[in-house]
Amino acid sequence: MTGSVDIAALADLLRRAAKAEILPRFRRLGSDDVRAKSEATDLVTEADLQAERMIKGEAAALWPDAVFVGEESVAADPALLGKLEGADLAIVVDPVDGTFNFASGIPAFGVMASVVAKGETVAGIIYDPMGDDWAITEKGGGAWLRRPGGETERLSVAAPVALEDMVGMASTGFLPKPKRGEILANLAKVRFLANYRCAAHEYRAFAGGHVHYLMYNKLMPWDHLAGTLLSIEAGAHAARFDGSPYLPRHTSGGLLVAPDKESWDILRREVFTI
Amino acid sequence: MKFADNDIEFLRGCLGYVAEHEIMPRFRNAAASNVAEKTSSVDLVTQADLLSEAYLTARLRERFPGALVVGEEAYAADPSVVPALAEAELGFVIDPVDGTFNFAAGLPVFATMLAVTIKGETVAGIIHEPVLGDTLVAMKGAGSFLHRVGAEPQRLKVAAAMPLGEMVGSIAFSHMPEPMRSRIAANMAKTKMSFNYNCSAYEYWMASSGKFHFIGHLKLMPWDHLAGVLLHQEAGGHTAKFDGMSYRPGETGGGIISAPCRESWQMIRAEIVGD
Repeated sequence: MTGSVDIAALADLLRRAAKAEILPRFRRLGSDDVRAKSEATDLVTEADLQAERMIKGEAAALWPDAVFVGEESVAADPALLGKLEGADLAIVVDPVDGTFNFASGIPAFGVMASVVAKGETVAGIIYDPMGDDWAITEKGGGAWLRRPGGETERLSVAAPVALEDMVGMASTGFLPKPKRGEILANLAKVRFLANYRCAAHEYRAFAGGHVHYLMYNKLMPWDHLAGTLLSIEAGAHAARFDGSPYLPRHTSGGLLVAPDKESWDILRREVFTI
Repeated sequence: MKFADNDIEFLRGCLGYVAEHEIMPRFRNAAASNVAEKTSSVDLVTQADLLSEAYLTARLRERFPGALVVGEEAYAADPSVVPALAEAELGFVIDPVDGTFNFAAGLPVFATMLAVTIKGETVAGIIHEPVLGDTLVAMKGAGSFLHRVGAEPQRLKVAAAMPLGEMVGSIAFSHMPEPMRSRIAANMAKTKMSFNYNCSAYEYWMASSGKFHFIGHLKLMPWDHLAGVLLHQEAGGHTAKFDGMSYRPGETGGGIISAPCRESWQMIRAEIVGD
């Protein structure tokens, strides 16, 4: 239990929503089922809307005291986002993280939820509908990969390596224009840059020790709260560009995640020169 | 040696077999995948690659005696198999797990690719996606199709041309030498959005179905590109090497760009790749 939210029950709810509302629509969306939100690459599909509707409905019945902050609910009512900071208890949900991939037919998408108590992230869940497993964490309890059969495996970050050997992901599309070119050029200093357009899978791969850095600049809480706690519980150093901790109320200021503080400092100085 | 349309069904059957028996049982199963580094931490080979290539090679040799069968392992044993594709009467080019880094990291973005060449020309390309079992098939002169499990085949078409600032695309600069690497990385800021899924099968799939506008690579190992290039061309796109010439089986250098049309190609060549 975390606050009054049973994490296993919330994890199960994400999985049921994926099976009922998300997977049946994958590679089967009609043109009416996909709409652009802020721009052509920011999409919402019937899967996002129906999955969030289902999760929200069941969460309200199970945890009536928790404020529900979902990506699509906030799109409909932006004031909802402001209720996160002051809430005693909140559940933050991204029904389909990686909507561009989902709508394009790329199987890199996830369902994410986090639990926020008094302005602090206390639990995070990343469900992968394709692999049918969860990356799951509760503050202070480590990061775990859990399968529906009950098997669990502890997640831990990669061993630190030199800058030129680092492999990782950076979402450079949301950097301000003049800095974007500079940082893209700086990224030539690392071994490899990937960008899967799906925070759920990127955090999952990072917490599992497969990559050495993650960088994001647009920080909506449903995209980053669960993954940041998962990474920290797997041993990471995660902080905003100014070195301060990333909190649920932050939507800007950047986020850089590395296996340890020393790697973080090197990446901040040599690559993410914002 | 003959290659007929119904041989495509045989090839699809072989790809389905390795997906089920050699690839998926090893996905997210560290004990069974046995990952080894080739040249670096992003260039990996797994048991899924090795056993799939061995199975496919054996089946192809049995059905098409005398055909040239090329995969990464065949190339490691004898590098002359790649240039031999330029002349071979009948050739098969296999990438058992394209996106091995993703496969090993637990990311479900990987696929099997197979190209068929006749006398130095790609005549068929197949991309099979093991997770859900969907398949893309391109036949020279007959278009590109997505065969989704349980659905009618769907014809693929590249995106409409757009101004550069509206395009989403990817050039695999991480594998390029300097100064090209830094130049292209910085030039990507001119586009709307860049990404790198680290899997050429999905890149060609997305470029061929109009989801991405452009993709590009410097290194042209045939198993990474022949099937995808035919898929893109048959979906109406323009693919050519950096020097503007067409890319042919047997070639391994010179860089390649795929774009919706010749004019877009020239814009990407000038504005992103540059000199």
